[in-house]
Amino acid sequence: MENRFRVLSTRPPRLDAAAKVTGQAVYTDDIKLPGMLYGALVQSPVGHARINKIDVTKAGALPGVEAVVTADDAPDVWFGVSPARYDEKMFVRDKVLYFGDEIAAVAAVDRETALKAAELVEIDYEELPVILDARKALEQGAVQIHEKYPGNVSAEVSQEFGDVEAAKAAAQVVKNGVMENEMTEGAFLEPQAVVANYDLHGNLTLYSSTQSVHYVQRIVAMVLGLSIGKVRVVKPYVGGGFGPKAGTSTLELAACFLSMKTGKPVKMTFSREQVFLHSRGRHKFVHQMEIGTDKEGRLLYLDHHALLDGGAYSSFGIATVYYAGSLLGGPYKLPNMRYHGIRAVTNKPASGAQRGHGGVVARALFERLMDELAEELDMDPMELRLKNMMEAGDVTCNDFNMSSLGMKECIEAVRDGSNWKEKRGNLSKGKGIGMSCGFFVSGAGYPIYRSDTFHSTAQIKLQEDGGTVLLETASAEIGQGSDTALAMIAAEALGIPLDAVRVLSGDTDYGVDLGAYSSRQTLMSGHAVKEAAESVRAQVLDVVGNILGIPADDLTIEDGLILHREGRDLDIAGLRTKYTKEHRGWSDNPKDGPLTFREASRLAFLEKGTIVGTGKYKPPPLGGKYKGATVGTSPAYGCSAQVVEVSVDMETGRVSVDRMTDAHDCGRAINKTSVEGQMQGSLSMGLGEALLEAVKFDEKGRVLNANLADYKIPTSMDMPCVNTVVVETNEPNGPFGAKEVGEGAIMPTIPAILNALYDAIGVRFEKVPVTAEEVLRAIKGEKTLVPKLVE
Amino acid sequence: MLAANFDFLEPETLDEALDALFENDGAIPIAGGTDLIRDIDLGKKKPTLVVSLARIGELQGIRVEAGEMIIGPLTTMSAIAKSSEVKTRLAALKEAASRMGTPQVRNRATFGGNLCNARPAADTAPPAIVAGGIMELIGKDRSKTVPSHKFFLGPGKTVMRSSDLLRAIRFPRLPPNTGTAFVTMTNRKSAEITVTSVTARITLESLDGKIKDASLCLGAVGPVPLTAPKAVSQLIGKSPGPETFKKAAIAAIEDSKPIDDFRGTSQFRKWLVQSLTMRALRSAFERARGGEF
Amino acid sequence: MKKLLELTVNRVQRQIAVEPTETLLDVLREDLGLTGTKHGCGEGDCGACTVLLDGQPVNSCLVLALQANGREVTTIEGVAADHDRLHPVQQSFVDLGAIQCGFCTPGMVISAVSLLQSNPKPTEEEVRQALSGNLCRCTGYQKIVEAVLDAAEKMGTGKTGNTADKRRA
Ligand SMILES: Cc1cc2nc3c(=O)[nH]c(=O)nc-3n(C[C@H](O)[C@H](O)[C@H](O)COP(=O)(O)OP(=O)(O)OC[C@H]3O[C@@H](n4cnc5c(N)ncnc54)[C@H](O)[C@@H]3O)c2cc1C
Ligand code: FES
Ligand code: FES
Repeated sequence: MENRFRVLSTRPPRLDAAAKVTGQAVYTDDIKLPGMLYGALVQSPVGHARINKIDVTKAGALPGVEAVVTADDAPDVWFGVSPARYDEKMFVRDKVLYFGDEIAAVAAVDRETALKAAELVEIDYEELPVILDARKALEQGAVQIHEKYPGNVSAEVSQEFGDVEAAKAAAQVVKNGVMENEMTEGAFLEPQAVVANYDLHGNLTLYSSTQSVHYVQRIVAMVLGLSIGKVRVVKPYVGGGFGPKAGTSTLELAACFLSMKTGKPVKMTFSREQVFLHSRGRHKFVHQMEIGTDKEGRLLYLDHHALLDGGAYSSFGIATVYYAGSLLGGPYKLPNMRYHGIRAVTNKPASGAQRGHGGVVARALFERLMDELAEELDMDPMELRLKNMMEAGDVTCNDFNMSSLGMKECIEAVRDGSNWKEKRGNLSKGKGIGMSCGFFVSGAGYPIYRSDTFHSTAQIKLQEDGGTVLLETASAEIGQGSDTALAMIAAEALGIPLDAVRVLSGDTDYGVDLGAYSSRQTLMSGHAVKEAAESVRAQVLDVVGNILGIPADDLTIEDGLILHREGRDLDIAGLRTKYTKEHRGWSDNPKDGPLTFREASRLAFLEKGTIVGTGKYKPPPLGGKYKGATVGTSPAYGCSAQVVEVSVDMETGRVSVDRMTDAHDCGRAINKTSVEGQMQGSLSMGLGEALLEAVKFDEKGRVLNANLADYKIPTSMDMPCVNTVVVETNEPNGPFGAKEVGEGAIMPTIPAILNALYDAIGVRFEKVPVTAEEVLRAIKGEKTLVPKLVE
Repeated sequence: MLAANFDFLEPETLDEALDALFENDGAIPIAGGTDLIRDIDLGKKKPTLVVSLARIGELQGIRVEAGEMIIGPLTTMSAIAKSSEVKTRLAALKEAASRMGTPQVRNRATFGGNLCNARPAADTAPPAIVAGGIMELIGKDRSKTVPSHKFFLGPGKTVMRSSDLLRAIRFPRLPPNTGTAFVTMTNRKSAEITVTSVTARITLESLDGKIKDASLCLGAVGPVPLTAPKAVSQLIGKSPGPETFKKAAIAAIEDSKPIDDFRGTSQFRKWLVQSLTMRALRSAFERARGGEF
Repeated sequence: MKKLLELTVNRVQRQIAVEPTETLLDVLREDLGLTGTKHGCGEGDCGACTVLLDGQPVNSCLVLALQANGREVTTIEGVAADHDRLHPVQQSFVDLGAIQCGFCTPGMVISAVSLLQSNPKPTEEEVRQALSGNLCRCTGYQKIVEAVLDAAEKMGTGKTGNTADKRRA
């Protein structure tokens, strides 16, 4: 396809590449402010207990300690992610709900003193029964963990679209099964860090390694009783997030509170162990599904039960339990769907959102069942999927509108790119090939708190001396490349080169942006940026047109030059002279050729003062009137297909992933290199979850493997090179046709690996991760069986 | 900064180091520090004085004297992995050192540290044991030698006193027609502690003769690296080959004493003992026939 | 009690009073302000703190500062020969999209630079081995591996003469 764009669909290096590759990029823990104190948290060393007494005398008396705070000092305000589930406080008062629950915080002159003081806080616990299993938590008579959730039910969802019972009666082929995963972690390389600075004017600045400055700003202001206007949240470079950094945490609140108490800046950084204790990563899910088709293999229904182990608090869990059901609405034509999901409270760290929020394990089971269906129908699994897949314009039974959907192109790309036809059925024992599809939202249709707010705003300000624009956005660059993508959108819309755009981002002072979660920024922040850029462009052309006596509509900006749309020469001599006069002594003044954007910007400033364009975006009203329709409806949906080849060591159970072929429809690829990077990174996380990753607990609820040696993410030797195919469609609801890639790409990985394992050794696994031990047990006929949720 | 409180000394001679260890309660030697620093950080060890061995020349390097290969305890895994002496005299040790941890860890981690730290999963201990390595210990007032299979007493425990140092590990030349091999199992392909390892030595009567002598050592399936007498008895005097190896591999399960932990169940480790013993024997046998040691 | 540490960091001799309990990573980040070296775990597991110690990549979180006495340390801030140019490995990382969040990047670059010093023409497998102590959660490693191979090729053919000015990279 010919690229009609100047900047988009190219592969410029990231704007932050040089800073990051030289070590100059500043992350939160790199910040040091004058007079800065160091904070430390006091966290529960038991899984569930009543607190009888907290004594901070010794801690407070330690030389160098400047403040010790507990629930007695802190504002007594519930907070959380979704207002309907605000269920956390800065510090617990009477009861700890999990190993790691936050009880107090200290600030001291250095980190060692702070840690020592934290150890000196004396707490008298009365231990309570610890519940680590979601099924047990829901049993009659189980002790209630959280005061807000009787029966330990954090959320429950029941939905039915169409008529599942009628479809069951008509079905010819039926498959059912169960799937369970283990709780997993974002395992981003940068532990959470914050620096809070409450100044003498009563302004609070919080530097935080967050994915959303906006949400953090609101919660900090709400909990601390400050006006939002006095709270500024700044996100320096962030070393990965993947979901768990999207909510507001006690780390952030405590640092702010300690800074207010002491009048000094306070830094706090999680140790790697604390990252695990805080968690907020992927839930442990149990799914049970039944799907049925007619005799040609057309899907008729899905009947689906899910149980989520939520841990002690809700975090994003209310959305998770909805997503776990709703994301199966696509990408296949599925006329009838019933879902019952429960999220249970347990004495574990809270689980929240992680890449592929809510949908990853559900997708794994669904796509495994598709494979089983294909086998029973004696169809190629690709054919079965092609037969059922939706097309652009289709609407799912739960009202998701497929405004663009390159599903077919994705399947064909991985089929051809992997030599599927030659390999399938022809690999030797112990080797296998499998495929799967996936599907994800491109931005949550609604904010996490009920509001009519714009989801993104942006300003573009023309620099007075011309030639450069400042793009201001509160969106969050967390490694995914949003600064670069947004700068590219601005450059394209303005008609100027990329290096004429400077990005200022990740700061609540730049406006409102809900941040980097639910794969929303390219589409939503992108829309706002595009609108701002178009406004600036129009203002500049207006001034030039006025001076030249030509309608502004006849003018255009291309590659930083002001041109006539029909290619006519413009008489710019007067303008150029004026510009040159203002820049006597400059050696690089434009001499000949068309009027430059630099000159035009200067002239526009001289006419009108500061030129600023603003942009904003919120999704149009989206489909679905049913309860829960706010989770899963999105302006657009990305989709993907994947083929994976594995080999199994039949004597040790070790699985190698030898090849992966992945195709993803991301709408218009703004920056192809970034798109591929998101795909490859997603696949590696999926590989980890499929084969290696699991957070493990002892019977008291302590994380046994709270480190990156025993919590095993893939290394460079575990991850193969991926044949990465970017499928471009034109998404009508996206800026320049763009939509998501950051999360959807993980969706097919686990099931594709499971299906390949079946091809290799003839076992359908019910539990992930499929560790070497699981494989070997299965080979020896001792596969782990997961009990059904309902009979 | 580590949450600890200790002083640091880096003497240039062995005597100074031994004095420092002898005179200070709570003094601990440090080699590469890859175990010790972690243990201090996790509060498992609380030294008052850390005595660095890094500048003591006689503890370094690999040399051959009177047919014996002598490895200084300060020799890093990277150095062992690259050493042509080790490669041609004790392939199993090269294999163990080459895979241990990560490249960065291998650049710091020492042979002596791995042995003295005495983890059940320590990768270089089994090669030392099957090759009949002799540990030379030295303290302020005594020195002695201990065969490597008697060196380990339990997880983290050895026959050394806290003021002793490991001075060298000596490897007598292996008899002709001998081969060794180390095989290990991990889930991840790098950066993982061994779930189970098996190291084998086979000495043949002649290139196509029977098994004259053999030794097996099982890693991470007991409190110390375990020799496997039952399995070895299935080998000596027998003709090498799949059937013999299989009998030995099955017997090795009985020799192992694995426990359940979050890295793997005992059942899994037993299965691994069997399959890895097969592999180790096969590979050691190939080497014995190929004149590779 | 503090002791005097003398070492060479990025070709400059330094003398610093340090606590025996400080790690080399602490000294680099806190005392010398060289925050390009990252703290990802403090336990030797992630490789974000990788620096060259006497030319060898090591986890600076697992080295006591005083163990580096008299030795030579190279951090990410010192890998390029010239302060306003990029090392060819850095340039390839930039050009080929080997960077996302960037937290693993300094350590990755150090490991890669060290590999190419000892093995100027590595295979893909050798690159993967050399990077196997540097975890990356963002990239799936692919573009990093490609970048190292690209740098090897350019260094081999001498086509690196003109690495970009780093301000414009
Ligand atoms: C990320 C990572 C991965 C690892 N992977 C592996 C692995 O795969 N396999 C494995 O076996 N190990 C592994 N280890 C553990 C460790 O690296 C090795 O055990 C290493 O060989 C220890 O050597 P060192 O020089 O660092 O020991 P140090 O930490 O310096 O010392 C360890 C102990 O031995 C004592 N000691 C050291 N030298 C002497 C001496 N000469 N005389 C008396 N006492 C002495 C010290 O006092 C200390 O108690 C890993 C460690 C890390 C951090
Ligand atoms: S910080 Fe040193 S290896 Fe992770
Ligand atoms: S780029 Fe984020 S960890 Fe590697």
